[in-house]
Amino acid sequence: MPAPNLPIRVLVTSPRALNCAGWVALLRGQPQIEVVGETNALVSQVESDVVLLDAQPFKPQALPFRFLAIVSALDDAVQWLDAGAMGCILDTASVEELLNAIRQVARGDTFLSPPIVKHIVESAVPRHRRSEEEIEPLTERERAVFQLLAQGLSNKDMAQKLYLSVRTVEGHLLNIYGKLRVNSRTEAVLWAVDHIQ
Amino acid sequence: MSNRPYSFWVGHFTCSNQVVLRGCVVCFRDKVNVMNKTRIALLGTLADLHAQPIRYDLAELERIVATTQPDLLGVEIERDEFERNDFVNAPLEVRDALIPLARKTDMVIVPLGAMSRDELLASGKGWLLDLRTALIRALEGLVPWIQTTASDARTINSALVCHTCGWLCDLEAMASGAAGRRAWAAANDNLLTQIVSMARHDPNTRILVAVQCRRKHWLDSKLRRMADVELVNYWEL
Repeated sequence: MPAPNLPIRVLVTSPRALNCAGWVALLRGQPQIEVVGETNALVSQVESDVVLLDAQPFKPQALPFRFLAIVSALDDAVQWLDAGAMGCILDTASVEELLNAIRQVARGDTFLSPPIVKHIVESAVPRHRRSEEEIEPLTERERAVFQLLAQGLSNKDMAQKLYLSVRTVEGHLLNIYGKLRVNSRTEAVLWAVDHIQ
Repeated sequence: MSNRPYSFWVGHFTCSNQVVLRGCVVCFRDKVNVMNKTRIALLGTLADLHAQPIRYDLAELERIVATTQPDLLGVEIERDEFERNDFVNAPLEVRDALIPLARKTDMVIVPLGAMSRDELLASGKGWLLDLRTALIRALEGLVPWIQTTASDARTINSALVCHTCGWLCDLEAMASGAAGRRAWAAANDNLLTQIVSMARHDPNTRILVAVQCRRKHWLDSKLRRMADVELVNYWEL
């Protein structure tokens, strides 16, 4: 994870020259992001905080670094997440969403585009139910964060909606995961689908 | 209690010796509380000062805010307009620099409400009104000098320009009569309330508030007296 005041080092990987050049040009203009290189093939060692991977030309596979996969199909997203991607966004995502995803993955969090969250939730079986009595009640603030989480919002978007800092939202998320006894935002969303009408 | 022993004890604060740790908390409770205060910095801006067209380096403002990287960025815009993405009435620096920057980073924008630009209008009747109007006009004649000497955020936030802006507005408030002074104080009070409520809504965060530089002097003095916030310079945030 980069130190708070250091730029996030990003390596762009895509065999498609135009896509690669486009993402590099886009990221070079962003504050707190440094493009440390671009490759057209998967490499085994990288000196970056996040690898931005154009996933479409590759087969889903485990990679020895932290990467954010850009996919064009929802099913591909599930396979890349299974393979170990820290984040997945659709190639139709906005620039803002891409930057949010890079920041979140660089911090070690998972990032999923809202349509991907929805797809995972709809296709997830079986679901494990826990009785309501087992769950420690969420505070009012945690409930507000949880509702936005269930809508598939990123940490930054939740923070902006609630006028809280991103760090505060991350703190609430950790509390929520602990109370619901889940390990990730995807599991928390699944819990919400099971328990919230 | 001086800072010297405090620094010494903080050195022990992180060690595993529980006795030392407990001693530190008990003996230096006031100082420990200081560490938990919400840090606020005010950044004076000039883009829409008195609604006059000016040269103002938005890139420099962006650089300062991007380097400062606050958790929360307070700006002068109405909340409902911000939530509707309607920035027509927003000050130039908010619309063209701060909001686009926040969208590209982890900074969260907190709308503090739009400020009127017409609080310092002369009040009274007859010759008194004419005199006050003339006085205010004369004082506003000094604004172009500030605008030409301070065309970027760094210069505007220098002590000289901040105090000059503040004194100028104090003089204008005095010249404007009781109604003008009340309107000026009410607008500033309202902004202060919004800043404090933002700090209390999410305590222990790093907050940068971009305000028109004419208000900075007034807000500085009020925030400095608040118990639960620590006012710092923007480069110390």
